[in-house]
Formats: sequence, structure tokens, C-alpha cells
Amino acid sequence: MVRRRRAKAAAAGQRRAPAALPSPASSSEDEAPEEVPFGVAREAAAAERKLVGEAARRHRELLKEKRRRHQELFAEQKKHRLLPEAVLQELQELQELQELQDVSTRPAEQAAADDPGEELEAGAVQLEQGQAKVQKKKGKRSKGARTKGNYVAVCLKDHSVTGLHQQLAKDFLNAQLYGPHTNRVQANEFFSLANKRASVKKAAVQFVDKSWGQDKKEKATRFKKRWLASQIKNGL
Amino acid sequence: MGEFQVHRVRFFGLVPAGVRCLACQPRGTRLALARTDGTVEVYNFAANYFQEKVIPGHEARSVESLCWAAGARLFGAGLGGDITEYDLAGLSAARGVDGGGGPVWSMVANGTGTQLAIGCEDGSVKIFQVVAEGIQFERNLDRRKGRVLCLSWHPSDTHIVAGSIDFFRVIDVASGQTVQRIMVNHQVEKAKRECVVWAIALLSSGTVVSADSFGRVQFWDWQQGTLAESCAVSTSAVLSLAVSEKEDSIVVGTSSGATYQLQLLPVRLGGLEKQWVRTKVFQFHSHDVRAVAHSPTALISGGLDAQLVIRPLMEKVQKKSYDAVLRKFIFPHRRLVSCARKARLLLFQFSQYLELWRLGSTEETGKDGEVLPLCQMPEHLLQLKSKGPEHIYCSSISPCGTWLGYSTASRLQLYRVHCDGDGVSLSKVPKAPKLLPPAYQLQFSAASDSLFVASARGAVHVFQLQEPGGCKHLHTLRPPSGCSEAVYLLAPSADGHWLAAVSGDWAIHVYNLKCFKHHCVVPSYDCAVSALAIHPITNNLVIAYSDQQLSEFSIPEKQYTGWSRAVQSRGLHRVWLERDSPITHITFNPKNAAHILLHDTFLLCVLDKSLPLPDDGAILMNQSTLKQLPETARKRQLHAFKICKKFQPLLFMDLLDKNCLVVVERPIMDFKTQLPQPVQQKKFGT
Repeated sequence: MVRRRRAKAAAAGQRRAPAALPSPASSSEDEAPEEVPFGVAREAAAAERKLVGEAARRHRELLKEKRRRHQELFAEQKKHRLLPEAVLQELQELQELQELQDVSTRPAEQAAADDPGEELEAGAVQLEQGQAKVQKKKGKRSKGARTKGNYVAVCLKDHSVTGLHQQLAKDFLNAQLYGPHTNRVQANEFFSLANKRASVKKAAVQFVDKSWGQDKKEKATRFKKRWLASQIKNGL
Repeated sequence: MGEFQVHRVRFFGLVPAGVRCLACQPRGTRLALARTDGTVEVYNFAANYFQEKVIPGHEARSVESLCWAAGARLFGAGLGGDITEYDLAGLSAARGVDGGGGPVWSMVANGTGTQLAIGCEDGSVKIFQVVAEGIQFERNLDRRKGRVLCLSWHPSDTHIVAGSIDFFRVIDVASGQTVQRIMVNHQVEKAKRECVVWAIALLSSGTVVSADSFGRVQFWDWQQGTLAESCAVSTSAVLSLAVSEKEDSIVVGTSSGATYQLQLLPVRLGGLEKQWVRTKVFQFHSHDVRAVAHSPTALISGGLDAQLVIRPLMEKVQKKSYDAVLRKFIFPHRRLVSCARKARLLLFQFSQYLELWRLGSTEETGKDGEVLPLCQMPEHLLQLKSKGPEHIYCSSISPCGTWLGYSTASRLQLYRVHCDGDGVSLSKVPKAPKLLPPAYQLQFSAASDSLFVASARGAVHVFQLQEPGGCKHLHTLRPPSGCSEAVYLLAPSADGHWLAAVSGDWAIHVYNLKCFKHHCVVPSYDCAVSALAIHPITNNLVIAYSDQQLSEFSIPEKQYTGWSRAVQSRGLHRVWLERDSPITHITFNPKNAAHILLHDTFLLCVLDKSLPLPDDGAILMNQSTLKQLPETARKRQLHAFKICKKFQPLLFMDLLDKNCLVVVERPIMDFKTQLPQPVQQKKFGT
């Protein structure tokens, strides 16, 4: 690979200018080396240094860009995770505020005692549904009678990863069973074979089964209506 | 029999789900079957292959493999990653444990049924311990990259072989390490795709049998790491494999719908050296055969065309009887259609929704066999989707057509149907009965004033239906000696006095509804009940068993009727007993007390008790001959069974009024075109 590169450089060098430095690979014949003036050599070296410097700078920029993008993504994810907590924080503050207000509503707490039970049940039902979201439900709010423990915030089982795995598994199965190499055929063709090979030959399944090609038939009727209407209009 | 106007209904769009996995109960007579929509069914071979239990599926549940463990416990695992135990007495998915390795592709139980091994998507093989309360994680075996698609234990439980993509490996159970890894993708000319090992088995001689996606069944010596034999069985993939208990016969199922049997036969007659040879080829299925099982006497295969085929092996069958016959099952052995006779409505039960149709009508009359033009077409009134991902257990409509109910695993819903002029509207009954779900059978009384709900542990709940739209729990009927199984069939009497209930242990209890007390138990018969009904006038309970026996029990007198005793002593006709499908519905003719109408999948029959029973020599299906005979000759040949085989396959049959029958058929070609694509079969000359 190195030899190829040098050979390419040599070819490029030859195309570029006769004053480029000859590469060691090209000088395989027994010749005295070419005479090259110092200025030309200095220019060539400077040009090469600039090129390499630019390449390195571009590479550094690329890495920086990538790093920046990753940082942004992580920050985004972090923010995403933090959001529910922010809401809870707010609720916490609100609750403290309320607590200061209703020190005297003790009996209301008893009535609200069976509300958490209801919430938990609802939470359990939601668990079965398997949605990955934080669920909270506010208890009943009478003027200034909001008490502690009126709701329960439940974090449900995260099903997003299992859903992804399941989808991958299903895709694999589909690809293996119904992929391009599996020699599958349409149901019409498959079952029409039996009709045509039977002792009493019948039409293909597509013609016998009236429910096939419904959309095509509908399109045809609509087109016919429109065409007739246009003909009548033109005729008039 | 008389003349009937037949409403021939073919608009029930039932598409049965394909069979995904099978599991034979070791040392037992049951077969567990799982379908692609998550339904799990149990067939009892001893009761004439009757589908005795059905656990409806769930939208999120996919079952990739089933196995029996610890005797009679059934476990299933699927792409959701959970291992569920199925409660067969309560007909539900009981406990679930997360496998912990992503989607579970296969699960096998060891020889003693105490441990389960699962093969997961991430390439790990995990061992679980079967304990009384459920299953418990024991340990992880060596994990390699590549999803484990199939597993097999060695009969002595020392090694497990795990098949993956392009290779399979043998794991030593005690140490948990992989002791051998064999690549299977050699010798596949020019194919750039990977070789998927779909099924694998480890025999006690140390031979590994693998079935791969290139259509080959290969026999390996895993200790040497060599290929002993290779059979190129088909051009499409071989998807499933099952080995007999004696390990001399293997059945494989392919993607093209063919099943092959390979047998271990001596190379020379009487010699000692044996070789695996492909012996029999069967083409019973039109779509992929994704599940096979090998029972001691039969080859069992289930395909994506929803067929379960049981092929007894001739050399294993002792005597030449109906047991040696090929059996095919497509439709369920229970009723999916309810009929409101007076309102002429039909309720169709699908897995996640219900459809309500009104029958058409005609003004014309005609001769025998004529098709009469309809003056009013059948109307699709409404489609009711069930809430939630669970599938429907049962549904029913009241005879007057104003109440409708269905049950899923977690809720029971009741609706009032209002038919005003052209439109139909539903209003939900607000305080639906709060009882432990699910309800396994719903039945409205003949006067549409009560609802009977079949529940677990042999209990039947009676609810009173109140007029504007409410229901109140009246009583719970329980069998006196307790019962662990659920009630699956109910039959109320027309006068609202009696109720018959059959539970999973095949005991028929009759309850008195006036005083809510247990009345009597029908003498036990050693077979499952497939249908029962109470005669409106005489209050005789007519019972059809899954082995095609019929009996009639008089409820007021608490004993079998004289006609029933005559049938038992005479024996039923041989052709009647040799039918493939069980009777799923019994109904009566209100104008003629001696008539009993029954149907199974392939025939409908009007039993006339006033006529003599046929003896074995007579022809059972003699309707066509009788039509041609003159009156006097006809009287001599008439017998009680009047059978019509014109409408097939039948899902439901009922008598609407004096001379109007409704039959619901589902022609097989109508749903086969809706199944997934089959593999092309190249035929000569096409």
C-alpha cells in the first residue's frame, strides 16, 4: 500500500511540475539524481507542510464537532429525565404551601385515606397496560381542604426497551420466513393451481371470490361516473 | 322431517389463527397447542381428541414455545420475554416471571420436569427451577453471541444443545461451559444467506439432530464434531422437529407444508448397523408447518393454515378401528355464534370484537333445493370492539335480542340493544356485575329476565336483569361437593325452572332456580360433554358427549329416560360414532316435542324420537334414497336420524321458527386467501 501511494505521488508529481522531488521508488534505474534548485525544494516542502497542517486542523475540528454533538445529546437526555422530577418539585412546593394553610383540617384526612387505595388500584391497572410514563392523580380539592397523602405518584415499568427487542425479534423472523429468498407466492396463484389442475377446471380464485379487487372495482365505478358526467357536460 | 327455509349464512368472517407450537404431555393423554394470536388450547386424546380447554390470547402475548413440567403444569414463553404458567383449572395465564434475557425463543423441560431451560435473544441459556409457587431463576449457562433459537436436553439431563444462527453448541449443564461448538453452514453452495438452525434434538446416543433453513436434517456426533449423516429433505426451510420417545422415529415439518418422517432402520435386514432414512411424506398443510409433535402412536403437526393434523402410525395401532384414522381440526369445538331467535339477530364472536347481524328475509317459496331471492338483504348492524388488549372468552345475546354481553379475562360487559327503525344503538349497563373475572360462559334465560354466568370452581352466578338497563346479583350456585375446575357449558330450561352446568371435571349438575338449590347430578360418564340442552316441554336434559354418545336425562324424575336407555342398549350406528367432530349445539322444535336438532362441523341432524333407531346394517344417511322411494317403501326404511350434509363446514345451526333454519358456514377457501403467503409449489405443466 505504501508503494502504491508513493507511486501515485510520483505520477502526480510528474504531472504537476518537473521541479518536484523524485520519489525513491521511481528511481529504480541507474541514473544520477536530478538536479533540483533549493528554492523549488523549499516551496514544495512548505506546500506539503501546509497541506498536512490543514488536514490535521480539519481532523481536529471534526472531533470537536462530534464531541460537541455528543455533549448536547447527553444534556438533552439528562433534561428529559429531569423533567418529571421538576414537576414533582413544583408539587412539593405547592404542597408545602398548602400545608401551611390547612393545619386544622384533620378530619378531611380520614376521608381521603381511602383515596390512595383507589389511586394504587388505578396505578396497578395502568401497570398492566404497560405505558412508560409517570402517573399522578390529584385527590379532590375543596377550598383549602387539600391534605397530605391525597395522591400517589407511581413510576411504571419501562417497556420501551423490551418493545424494541421484541420488534427486532419479529423483524428477524419475518425476514427469515418471508424474505426474498423464500420463494413465496401470492395466495391467488397458489390456490388457482388446484383449480386449474382439477378434473373439472375452474377459474382462478381471484375471479371466483367476489371480495377480491374491491378497491379496483370502486375506482373503476368512480371513474365511470366522472367520465360520464364530463361527457354529458361536454355534450351540453 | 318437513320442509325448511334455510338461511345460509356465509358472512361470518372468521379467520382462525395459525398453530405456533405443540407440546405432548409426557406420559399423559393431553396435547397443548398455542396459536399465533396467543391462544392456548388443550386437547384430550382420550376423550376423542376433544378441545377441552381454551385460554384466549392477549394482544401483547406471543407464545414461541410451550412445555409441560412437573406433571400437569403448563408453561409458555414468548417474544415478550416472560415465562408464564397457565392455570388450567382457572383457564387463564397465571404467573409470569421475566426471563431476563430479552425475547425467549425456546423453552424445554428436563426429563424429570423439575427444571426449565430457556434460550434467549441475547444468546444466553438460563435454567429455572420449577417450584410449587411458580418458577425460580437458578443460574445462567455460558453465553455466546447469537440468539438461541432452539434447545434440547439430553435424556439424562447432563447436556443441553442450543441451536443458533450458523452454528449450534453443546453445553455441559453441571459446569455451565460450552464443550463443543459446531458450524453448520458449510456445503451450502453459492448461497450468501445465513443458515438458521430452526430445531434441534439431542438423542441419548449422543447424536445431535439439527433442522436448518436450507431444508436439511443433519445428524452430528458432537463429541467428535463430525457430521454423521445429512438428509436434504426439502428445498424450503425445515422449521420444526420432534423425536419419539423410543428415539427411532423423527418427524419434521417444513415451510412448504410437507411433513416428513425419518426412521432409524437397519441397513441390511436383520443386521445390527442402523441408519436414518426418510420414510414417509405427508402434504396435509398448505402453509408453513411450524409445530410438530410425536406421540407414541401418532405424528402430530400444526400449521399456519390453522389445521391440527393427527396422523396415527399404522404399525403402532393395535386394532383396526376408528382410532387409526387421520384427524384434522380447524374450527374450535365450541360455539362462536349466538342467535336471538325472535329478533332474528346473529352475534358473531371474534377474538377482539363482536359483530351483530340481522338476517335477511324472503317472500317467495320454492321447491326442494331452490335458491330463493331475498327481498331484504342481511344487515351488518354493528361491530363492538372489546376494550383492552385481552381476547374475548365468551359472548351471548338474549333470545329477544335486547341484551348483549361478553367477557374478557378482566371484565364482564353488558349492553342493552335498541333497535329503532333502521338504526341500532347500544347502551352500556352501568353497574355491570362485579365478580371475579373471567366468565367462561354467558347464557340468558329464555324469557330474557336472568343472566347466568359460569365462573371458576364450579360456581354459576345468577343475575336478574332489570328493565331500563340494570342487573342485580341474585344468587351463586355451587356444586355440593366442591369443584376445582371452571364451568364451561350452561343450559337453562325454557320455563326458567332448571339450570344445567358442566364443569371441567365433566360432572353435570342440575340446579333448581326457584329455590336456588342443587337438584341432582347426572350419573358420571367417563368422557367430556360437548353440548347439552333442556327440552322446553318435557324438561329432559339432552347431552352429547365428545365420543359421539347421546343420552337423555329426565330432570323431574332424576333418571335417564326410556328412549335414552334404548339408545344405550342398542348402541348408536357405527357411522354416527365414527364422526370426526363433536356436536356443538343442540336445539329443539317447539312445535314437535319428539324432534332434537343437532349439528357438528360436517352435518346437521334432526333426531325424531318417535321413529325406530337404525341398526348397524341400515344406511345412516339415507335421506337422498328416501326421497326417491314411494310412500309405502319409505315407511319401512325410515329411522330416527335424518341427516343433511349439504352445508359444510358448519359453525352453527338453529331453528328460528316453525320451518326456518339458519346455518352459519365458513368455507375453508374463504379464509385461506387471508392467511400469510405460502411457499410456491411447482407443479408439472403449470
